[in-house]
Amino acid sequence: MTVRSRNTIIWLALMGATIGSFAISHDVGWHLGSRALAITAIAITIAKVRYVGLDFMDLRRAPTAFRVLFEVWIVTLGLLLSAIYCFPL
Amino acid sequence: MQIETYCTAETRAKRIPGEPGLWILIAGDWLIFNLIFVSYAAYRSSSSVLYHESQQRLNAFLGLANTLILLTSSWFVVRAVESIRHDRNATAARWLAASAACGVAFIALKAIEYGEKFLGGITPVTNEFFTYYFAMTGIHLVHVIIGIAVLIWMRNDIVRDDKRANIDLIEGGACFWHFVDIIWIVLFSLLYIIR
Repeated sequence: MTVRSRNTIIWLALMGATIGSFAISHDVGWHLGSRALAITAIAITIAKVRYVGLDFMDLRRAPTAFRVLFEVWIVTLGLLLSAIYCFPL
Repeated sequence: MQIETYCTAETRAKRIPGEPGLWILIAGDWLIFNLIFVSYAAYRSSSSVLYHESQQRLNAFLGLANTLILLTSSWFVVRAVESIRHDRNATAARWLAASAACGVAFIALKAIEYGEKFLGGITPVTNEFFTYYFAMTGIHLVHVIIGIAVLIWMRNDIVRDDKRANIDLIEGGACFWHFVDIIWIVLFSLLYIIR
């Protein structure tokens, strides 16, 4: 697969994930107390951030340490936000 | 017949895109935004009813539209960088102009959204949620404006003369715009999706 076609597929997937999460949020209702749904939304968000970083910013071909730092950072943010939504203060 | 070939990501040498100094700026900015995201989530967890009710007053469709606009603008920038790597500066200039236009559209929709709030009597001091809402989206909006300026500078730089574009500067500018997109992806989820 060429870089160009891969990036186009990723763009379409990002658009689809955005519309999908919006539809679920407003049709089903990610209401209060729905922790599983909040965590799902955070997981989708982190996945979107990951693909923008790795493919659009081209971090997929960055040195391994730099790429690992990026991935660990965004996963940590996702886990932190999930923990806060799961265990309210 | 011209045959265009594109190397795969795996076949290119490993390197950090853009100028190293830019990544220090992005990392610092990203850290500050992360603190704001976590702070928002923490305060939300202690006042969930207030936040939930306030989020119902947001125009989620404008939030969705702006997310799709920024994602598309990021893809345009990707296409621009690919074009520059293949010495097709005129094509790249068109992609960059399209991306900047998306940025302007984002600002226009944000202005409509802010206008709706102000006309409805909602301001940054209405309650804690709206303080966060205006602060987070306002700081992001400043990044969008800077990003548009960078995109216009990139476009002007590659059409000004015939020399090869400085790929480090181009990649750096592109990464900044993708970073602006990343911030919004998280904001969209926190403000409009998780309610």
